[in-house]
Amino acid sequence: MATNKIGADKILSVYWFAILFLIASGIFAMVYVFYNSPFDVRNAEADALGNQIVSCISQNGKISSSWTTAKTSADLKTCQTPAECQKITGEKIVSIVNGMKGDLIPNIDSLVKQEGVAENFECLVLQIAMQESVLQHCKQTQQDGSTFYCDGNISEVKSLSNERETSLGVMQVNIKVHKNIQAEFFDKGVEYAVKEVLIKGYSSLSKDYTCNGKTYSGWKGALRNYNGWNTLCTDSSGKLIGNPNYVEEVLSKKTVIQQNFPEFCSEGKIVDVSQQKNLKDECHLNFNSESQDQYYFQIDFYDFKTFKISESNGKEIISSQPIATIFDGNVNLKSDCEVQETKDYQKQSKCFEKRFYAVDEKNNQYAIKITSVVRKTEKNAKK
Amino acid sequence: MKRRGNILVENVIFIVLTLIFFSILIYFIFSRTGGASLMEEELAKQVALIIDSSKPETIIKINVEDALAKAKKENYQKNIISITGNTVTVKLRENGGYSYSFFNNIDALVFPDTSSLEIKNYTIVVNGYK
Repeated sequence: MATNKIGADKILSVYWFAILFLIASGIFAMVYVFYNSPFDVRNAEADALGNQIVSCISQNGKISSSWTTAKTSADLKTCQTPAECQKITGEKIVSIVNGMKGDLIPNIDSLVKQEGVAENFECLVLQIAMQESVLQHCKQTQQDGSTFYCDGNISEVKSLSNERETSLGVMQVNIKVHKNIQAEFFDKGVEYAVKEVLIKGYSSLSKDYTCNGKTYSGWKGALRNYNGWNTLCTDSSGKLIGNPNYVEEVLSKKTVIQQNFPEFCSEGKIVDVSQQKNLKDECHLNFNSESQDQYYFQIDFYDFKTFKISESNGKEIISSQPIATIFDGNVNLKSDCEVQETKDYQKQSKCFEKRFYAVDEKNNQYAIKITSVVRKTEKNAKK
Repeated sequence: MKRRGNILVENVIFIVLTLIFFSILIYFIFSRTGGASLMEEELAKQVALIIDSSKPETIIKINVEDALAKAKKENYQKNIISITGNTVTVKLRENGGYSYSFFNNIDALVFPDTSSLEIKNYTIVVNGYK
């Protein structure tokens, strides 16, 4: 019995060491993995960035109306006469185009100016809007002082409808041709018209236009493309298809646009590439980190009276359209936030969202959403 | 008698091996958790986040006793925290260091707090926006 006991003890000790070895391996692995990963402080950093922006734009729950009016939005402005409403509509077009200009064609303003079609790119879009809709998005000039009263309501949006086209909104986007665009929304219509119609038609190569025998290239070609390069000039009843003088008519709007929008279109004027560039200075931000483009932030201003939130898959989604949006930093990081909503990947940027309520000096109420994004993957995520 | 002596030796060896085993494990954990590189990273990020969250005219004291002890152990006598531009650098050894940037465009200074005989804290002075 005694001999057997010693044998059993030895076997037990071998098992004991085997168990110890297993436990130790587990602890080694855990410690190694945990302490070999950098401390991820991006959430805290994005939170701090959000706080900095909140304290920059709002003091004790009050914001300056300049954030929503001068910077981007004309929605809250009211108008009575057609000229006043055109002014508001034009300002909104300029703010939208100005925000997207950087992603279109390099030196776009110089190209426009060199060709002599307009003073700068924003003014060229204004000329097109003047030609297309007399700078009017809705059927009526205004309702209760609002020139955008119809936004999103297709039956109230200015339209031209016949067997070939149903053109909507301030830029008269033909939804029979461009089927995936909700041109009844002002912002979407302008963005689509600029990016998908005007810019896509820009080419240095010359092209003949059958219906007037002229040749167009560059921005004039892009304008021709906007109205269409139709080869069939009249329909069976002899009615003109398209406008053969479209390019010339848009160019002739240059003077009237310069007179109505001297702040954007007077001689030598270039609309600041992005007013949001100043935001970094205003909010005392320095994005020159270890490597460039590690930050992004966006401020969305919503009209509190129409602010709506809906729920989708247990998540809160803002269903209202922002009346103004300001952003700065590396805009490419924004897409990481959309991915983060479904799954959090360590090697992607970290997003942080804040929402708060504020009023301006005119007692306009706003719901404000701030999205701050920090990348810094190299310093915060395991390689 | 002989058999009993064998049992004792085996038990002693067993206990010694177990102790060695646990000692190695504990040494590994401590070496990992208390490493200079880890401490540098932690402190640099901590200081950068403090500066990011600071308002102008703020003075912050941060206890760095552990980091100073580590620097002493590594025979590193210079300032362990420095700020250049908008980057905080923490250095606890001659051949090492960790830098992390902050986004707050603020004029910040950092220096050892010499108000006590033995330096235990570093002072971060946030003067104003640049």
